[in-house]
Amino acid sequence: MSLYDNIDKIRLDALKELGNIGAGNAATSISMMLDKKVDINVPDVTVVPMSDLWKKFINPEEITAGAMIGVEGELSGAILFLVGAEDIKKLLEMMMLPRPEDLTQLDEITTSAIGELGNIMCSSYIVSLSSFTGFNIHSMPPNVVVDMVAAVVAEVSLINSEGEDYILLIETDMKVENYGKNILGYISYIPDEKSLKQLLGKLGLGIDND
Amino acid sequence: MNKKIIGIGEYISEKAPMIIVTLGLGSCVGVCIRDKAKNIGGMVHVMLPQNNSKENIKPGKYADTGIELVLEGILKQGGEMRNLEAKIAGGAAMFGNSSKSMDIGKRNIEAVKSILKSKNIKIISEEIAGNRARSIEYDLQSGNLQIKKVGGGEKVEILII
Repeated sequence: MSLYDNIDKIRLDALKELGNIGAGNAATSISMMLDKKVDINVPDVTVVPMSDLWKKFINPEEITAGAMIGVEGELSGAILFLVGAEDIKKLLEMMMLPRPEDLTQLDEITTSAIGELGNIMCSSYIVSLSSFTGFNIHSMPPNVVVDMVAAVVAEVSLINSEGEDYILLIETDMKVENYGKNILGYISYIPDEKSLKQLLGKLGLGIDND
Repeated sequence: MNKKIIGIGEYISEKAPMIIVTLGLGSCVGVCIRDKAKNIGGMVHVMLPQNNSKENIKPGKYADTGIELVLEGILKQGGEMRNLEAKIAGGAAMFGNSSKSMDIGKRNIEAVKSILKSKNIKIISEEIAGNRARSIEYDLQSGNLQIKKVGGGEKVEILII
């Protein structure tokens, strides 16, 4: 019996609340940086078999840009921040940076700007996760990526699944208000199995298997 | 045309006319094998080089057990070992040299190549390594492997090998 078979509604709700706290803080930090209103949706927590990951996307080949930030310390896993190709350009413009002509040929400044954006968002996520759970965790330097959305999510899941058949995603959609035209972003915490066990234990919802 | 999509760690063997699709190959490798005389072929979406666990819950995840299963399926449907050819795609390092990924892509490619070599199946074309993800479509009738990946100009590039 795998841990993932035991994630019932009450555990999903608890993890959603974690996502809410993390993404809420991430949204606040980006909102302060851009001086814009940022909204977040209710987080979505899903347990997905690795083989069905591709079914999650309406357009799996959509080009997105973002950053993966590894989580280390008492919890591990990664936080993934993604924005569509057009929207990331608008975000960079808001940060007073030149608009990149071609995202697939990133220069150093743009790469580091996307990395920094991911860093700010994901670090606030991690800090709030840490203060809520009491776990001592910290973030790793960002890995910037521009690629097809399904592949990015699959690859990050793969890195953190350690060969497991299932992955749990705590996903939150967010939008930055920009003169009526919203910029849509996505932030997801992808814990590995061990961290998931620890998180649930800390929340008083531990699962005893094996 | 019949199309079947397989996910990470899944495998299939079929007879033409059939197109086998898999999406988002990052460090994973898509191994396509086909009997070129009888147009019977298969694909496996390999995630890791070796199956170390004794309980085979998802044998398609691993290069060794996955390729074995595709071959079994092809032979069962009347394919012959001596007619087999292979095409492989994937094995990219999407996050550069991030310590977390530990270059699984490279290890997957090495494992797939050595297994195919030990079975005397020739790799007639490949589209591997690099840092971009790929989606592939394998046409069992013609043996063409269509690869989509993000190229320059923010467009999805299509190659046929």
